[in-house]
Amino acid sequence: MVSTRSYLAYLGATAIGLLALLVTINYQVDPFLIHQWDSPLLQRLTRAQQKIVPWGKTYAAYRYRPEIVFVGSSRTEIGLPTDLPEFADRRVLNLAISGASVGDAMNMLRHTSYFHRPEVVVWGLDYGWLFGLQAGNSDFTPDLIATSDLYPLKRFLLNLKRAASWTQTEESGKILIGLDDRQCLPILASRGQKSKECLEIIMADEGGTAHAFDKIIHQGDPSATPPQQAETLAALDAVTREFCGKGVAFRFFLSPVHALAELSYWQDVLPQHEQWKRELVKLFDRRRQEGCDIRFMDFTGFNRITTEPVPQVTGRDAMRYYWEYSHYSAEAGKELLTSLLPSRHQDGPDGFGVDLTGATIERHLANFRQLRQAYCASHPQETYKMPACRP
Amino acid sequence: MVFSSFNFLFFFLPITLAGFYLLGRKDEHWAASWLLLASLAFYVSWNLAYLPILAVSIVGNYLAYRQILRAAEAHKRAWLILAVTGNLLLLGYFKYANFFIQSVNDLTGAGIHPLDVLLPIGISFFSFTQIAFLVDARQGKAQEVSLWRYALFASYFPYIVAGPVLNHRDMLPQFADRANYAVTANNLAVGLTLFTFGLAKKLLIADNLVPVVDVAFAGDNPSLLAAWVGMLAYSFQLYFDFSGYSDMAIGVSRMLGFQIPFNFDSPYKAANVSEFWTRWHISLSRFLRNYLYIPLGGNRHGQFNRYRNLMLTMLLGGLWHGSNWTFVIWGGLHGLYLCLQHGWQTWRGESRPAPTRTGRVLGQVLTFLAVLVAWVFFRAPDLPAALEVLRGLVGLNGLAPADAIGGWELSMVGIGAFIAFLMPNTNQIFMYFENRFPDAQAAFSLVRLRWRPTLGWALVTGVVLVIGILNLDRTADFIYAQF
Repeated sequence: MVSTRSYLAYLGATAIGLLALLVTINYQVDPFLIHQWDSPLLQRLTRAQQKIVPWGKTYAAYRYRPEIVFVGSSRTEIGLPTDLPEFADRRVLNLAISGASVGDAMNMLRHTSYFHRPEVVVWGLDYGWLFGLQAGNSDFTPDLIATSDLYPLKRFLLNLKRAASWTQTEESGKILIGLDDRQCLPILASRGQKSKECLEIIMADEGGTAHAFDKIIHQGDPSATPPQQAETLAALDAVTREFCGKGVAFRFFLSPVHALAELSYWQDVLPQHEQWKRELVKLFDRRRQEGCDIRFMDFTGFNRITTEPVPQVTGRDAMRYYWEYSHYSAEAGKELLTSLLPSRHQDGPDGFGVDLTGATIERHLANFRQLRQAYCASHPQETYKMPACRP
Repeated sequence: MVFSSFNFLFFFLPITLAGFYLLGRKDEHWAASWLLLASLAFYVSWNLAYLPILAVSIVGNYLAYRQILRAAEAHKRAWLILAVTGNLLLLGYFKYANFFIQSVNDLTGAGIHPLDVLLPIGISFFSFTQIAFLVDARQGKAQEVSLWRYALFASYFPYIVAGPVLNHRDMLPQFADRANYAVTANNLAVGLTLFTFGLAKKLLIADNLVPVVDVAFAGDNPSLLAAWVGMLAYSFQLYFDFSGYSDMAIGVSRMLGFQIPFNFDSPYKAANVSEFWTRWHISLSRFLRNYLYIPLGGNRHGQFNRYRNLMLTMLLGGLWHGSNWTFVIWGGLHGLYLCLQHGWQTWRGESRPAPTRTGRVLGQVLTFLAVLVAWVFFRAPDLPAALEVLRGLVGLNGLAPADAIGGWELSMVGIGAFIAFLMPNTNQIFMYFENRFPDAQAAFSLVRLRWRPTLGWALVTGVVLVIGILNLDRTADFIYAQF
């Protein structure tokens, strides 16, 4: 027996000492790379499926202060490369995050702009629930967004708090004793784009590209539900007005999902999907008329990239432009950026990317419908399950 | 802000304790006011909009209490009825209005639009606590109290979210005693250790059982194994979640120098349902017995009235937990169990011998199974979901093992069972230190597990506290906070 004062002293010393030790180790090892930039730790191999990526990306935005940013969902994160020759000497960061809604993208834009206003924002848009304001990525919590000059201190405290977790302790332990499952370079090593090596591992774990296409060809994928678009359009209107007023250029685009995904996703909502595009065109036209450097391109549809023959036809598992039907490769992303980045209004080469304005939208939609029917007719074996292809 | 959060542990609690300690050295009135302020801040940390509701409830009940004290004997009863009705209307509007509308719609197809009502957290607890105070005031059993002290009692932060249901006879004398406004090493040591036990129960056991429970309630016709493992897991999750919360509440209060009665006493060791209710959520059982069952007549007017009163008490006790017919059925099942037990005991006669050891074990098994079946309704979101799990429990959905149940899941259920059935409870572990925990029903022989301020206990508690803190980032909501 000891006195209760001594008991409290022993208890307090044990708890504080042990907690301080573990937090220090976790902070130094930083197993999920949540506070690294220009650090050798970014060359440490990590798991293919990285956790809590928004933490690392918000920290990178604060430290790197990019001039050109990409925002959007996993399609943008996976597909848009940051190492194009055009980007030489420019600070480019892919800030897209998996599952990000339009609301998340806006928050990411506000966060990065707090430290340095970007010159160009490349923004991937998706129809369906991602076109909403509610958080789509649960790890992207509001406290990660900079709202005051105290952000560095707040962020340090948040990083410490995060270091006081069992998950980080487990991961740090594995890294320190060499038991971790290290596979590929982390996302921030390629300035925010998920690396090809990581994606190859993920695809192998998921059964491969052919397996993914098997699913959509033989089972289909549920049609998207129309988004609550009025409030999202209003918010997008406000944010583009605000940033255009500050001289920021916008490059909006619709992600080039594969033609089979296009047929499946929007099968029940074709008129709403077309109307959504019209509303976006109206919004961006307004900005343009106000003098904003803004472009909006549609890379979806039935063009030479999105109609790339699937593994079931070619007999090869890998595809040039797609990881699977919903996520395009960096090669497609490179072509997308080449068409999208310039200020001049021009369609992409060979029909990949249509520049949308009030003058072109109806022609584009009519053409789209024609090409859809033509694709259905010429690909009966891949589209036999697609209601959108039935007469 | 829940107890198992960074904000509570690293900001709210240290600041509250420090302020209470510093002010308590000067003047206990300042310390009590500080505690009241902290309690209100704790409450509004959930939602600022709750504050007016709590304020109206406290001030309204205090005014009614003054009227009951002042009124002529003939009018006291009228004031009491008015005040209790006011409390029930408040509770009914916020908690049951939409349940009532939904039930009317289901029965008649009336299509009444539900109300846009915000359910204030802890309303069931602060309403019951105050009703008990008014009833006792009417009977002359409540002591004189100022508005500030009363407000502190009714809003006291350790209990307000999920109980225990406080009794003024336990708390008001403590708030009035100047000696309690001094933070002592004894209170801090016992309180912090109890809090750590509660944190570990919640984060390390209850929260780890959540995925196992979800297997049974995934709406996927659980097989025999999935249903049983899921329901065993839920029985232990609920126990460790709620008793963990109660231990934390008791521990926090003890750090401040005030003792809240224990709320659990190894309920799954009960050998019959009646005994179960003397061990599970003790503060609610006591409330229901003293302020519902006994006023209804208790067992004083014949067998029929006794069974009727038991059923009514348990049905209303079930409804207290939530505005859903599943809770009513849960309460009804417990009422039925109690009636069957009392009927059986009456049939066997008063002079029956004490049960043998085997008989007691059989009674424990039977009681646990009965309680487990009733938990199905407590957990299920609706009646069809409950029936689906019941079908699983009797094997009507097949016997196949669920893929989601592996070694880890079974180990967690095993650990829960081991602690719940075989280990002493916190009440028993602490009773030897000061012998100030009168609710402990039985001693236990594992001398090493009796808490004393030793180096070993300090090291173990320190390590458990750190493990708890490391798990704060993945805590689930407290189940009883929704009631």
